[in-house]
Amino acid sequence: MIQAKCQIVEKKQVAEKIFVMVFEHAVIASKSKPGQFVHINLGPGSVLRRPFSVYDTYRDTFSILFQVVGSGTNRLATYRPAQSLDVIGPLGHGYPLEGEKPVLVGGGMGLASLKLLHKRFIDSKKDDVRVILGFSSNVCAVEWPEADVCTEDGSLGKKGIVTGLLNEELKSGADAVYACGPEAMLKKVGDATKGKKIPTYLCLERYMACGVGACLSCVCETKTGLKRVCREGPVFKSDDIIFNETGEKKNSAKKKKET
Amino acid sequence: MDISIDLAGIKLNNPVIAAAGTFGNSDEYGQLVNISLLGAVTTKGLSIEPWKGNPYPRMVETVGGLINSVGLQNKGVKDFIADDLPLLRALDAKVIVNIVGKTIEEYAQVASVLDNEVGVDAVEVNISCPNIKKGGSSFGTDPKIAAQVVAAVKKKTKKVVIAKLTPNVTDVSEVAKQVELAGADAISLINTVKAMSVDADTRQSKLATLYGGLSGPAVKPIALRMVHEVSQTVKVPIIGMGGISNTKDALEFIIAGAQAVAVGTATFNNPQTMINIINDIKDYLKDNDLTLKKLSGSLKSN
Ligand SMILES: Cc1cc2nc3c(=O)[nH]c(=O)nc-3n(C[C@H](O)[C@H](O)[C@H](O)COP(=O)(O)OP(=O)(O)OC[C@H]3O[C@@H](n4cnc5c(N)ncnc54)[C@H](O)[C@@H]3O)c2cc1C
Ligand SMILES: Cc1cc2nc3c(=O)[nH]c(=O)nc-3n(C[C@H](O)[C@H](O)[C@H](O)COP(=O)(O)O)c2cc1C
Ligand code: FES
Repeated sequence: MIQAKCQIVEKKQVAEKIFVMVFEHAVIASKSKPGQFVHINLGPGSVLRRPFSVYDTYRDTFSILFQVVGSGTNRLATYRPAQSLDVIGPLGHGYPLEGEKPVLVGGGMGLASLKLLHKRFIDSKKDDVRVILGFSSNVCAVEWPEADVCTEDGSLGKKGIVTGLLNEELKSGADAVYACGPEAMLKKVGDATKGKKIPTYLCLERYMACGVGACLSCVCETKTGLKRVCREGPVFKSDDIIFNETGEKKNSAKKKKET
Repeated sequence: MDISIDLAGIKLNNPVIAAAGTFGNSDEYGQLVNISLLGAVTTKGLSIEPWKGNPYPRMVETVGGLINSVGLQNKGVKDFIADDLPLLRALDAKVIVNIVGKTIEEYAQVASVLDNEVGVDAVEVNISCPNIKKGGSSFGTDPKIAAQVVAAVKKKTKKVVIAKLTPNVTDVSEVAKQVELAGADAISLINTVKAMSVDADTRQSKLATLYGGLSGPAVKPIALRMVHEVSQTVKVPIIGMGGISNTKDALEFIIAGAQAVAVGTATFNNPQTMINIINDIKDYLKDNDLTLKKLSGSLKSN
């Protein structure tokens, strides 16, 4: 992990309220592994940084994909190419690469943490890798041609939720599962592979202050006690996580705001 | 330029300290901050047995600050001694151990466990903890009980004892006076300000607990006033904190009467905050032909 001023070299709006922002920094770009995140300072007068998955890396650049959901992301969206932001990264433990027929499951902006993982699987000749993306409605025009898409209202791709498609993949021999998205979805993904001896990795989201393990604001419950999502996570083995109500409560609150 | 200070007998290379609960227990920030350059680091509050803390969510950002309800989650003082203290010794850092308890006896036990540990320079008694024998109200809100906690700790240790005061009281000077009488070698203030944040969509508190503690720039004016008041009442040195984010903020606390300053929330925003303050204080003193001693408590009357 390092802290560095990173220049924005590109900013692209890919859908309503959704942006890709590309930053230049050779060290962060080369050190970032799939599932890791960067912690971005939003500039003068801000109090807390905001965490975002490393969406992609290319040569000396890394990018994030983010949705404007509140004041922080709103402010982030005002920055333009040639401006610089103070970034700490890469942070946390990402996804280990396992399986011959892995399935990646993304819900909403959770897809951001899976793009680089997909790339690494392709790099290592695991061409059978599958991608399933779910959205609440047709909001996300992220170009990902290989992905099977479903929406809750049927406005894009299949009508339904990701676990429907995931179960089909599991029947046809998927042997590792990776998921990132709302906690209720992660819980369902974990349930789908429970007892099947299929390694399942889930990427959690929490409010974060320090991002390095110092403040204990981002904890989640696991079978071996409380863990810091920023430090021991954000990726955990599905069997280790103990889901509780607070994660779901927060997600439903978030959903209400989005719709 | 020499900006070292003598804090109740501990020599610090500079007056800038990492505040309790915001800098981990040892080298959490080690890859970003050169810890040996800091005046001292303060650990997370440590209890005799591990504490689980409060449920998530434990943190919410507000205008100019944040409210936390971490609830003093910690691994317990023994695990700290085994896992973290060796790292801190290797870094050659000055170490203040923040201690917590649910009863006066528990505070005394933690102090006694630490008493013979090399590399612990001081214990900071966090009297903001809920007192279970008194229905959960904080030890620090009653000057007499605050003094009893400090006296009990003092009895169990030869280390420097710092009393950390809560701002959630009517008369902070009275608490300061009592803990000084009870033997506190130094006083640090302020801890977080009791606060709340409501989500109008869900009509729930944004924290899993109803209330939390506010820190950051929003509390700075209150903290400054309290540091000044306490400096008018006690003779022991004061570590001032609450919303310090830059060198100017730090200088204001020193002018108001502090001998040292601590930085918490601002480190989350920029881990280099303390290092920047240390460097800039030197420049400020040089430019104004001042020393820290002359600056401390030098507030002029209007
Ligand atoms: C490790 C990690 C990786 C992330 N990666 C991405 C990403 O690649 N793309 C992306 O768009 N978002 C990502 N997020 C979520 C992103 O950090 C939040 O959306 C952002 O912090 C919201 O800030 P805000 O001030 O705009 O929203 P706020 O005004 O603080 O909140 C608006 C809404 O967002 C929710 N929210 C706020 N912060 C978080 C958070 N840290 N985690 C979950 N929900 C939150 C709140 O419940 C609220 O409903 C990630 C979060 C984590 C922890
Ligand atoms: C996340 C967090 C955890 C804290 N934990 C402790 C603690 O364990 N013990 C303690 O005495 N103070 C604790 N504090 C209070 C700080 O040490 C400090 O007194 C307060 O935050 C004001 O300073 P600041 O505005 O610079 O953060 C904590 C503060 C925060 C934000
Ligand atoms: S964000 Fe501070 S410990 Fe995870």
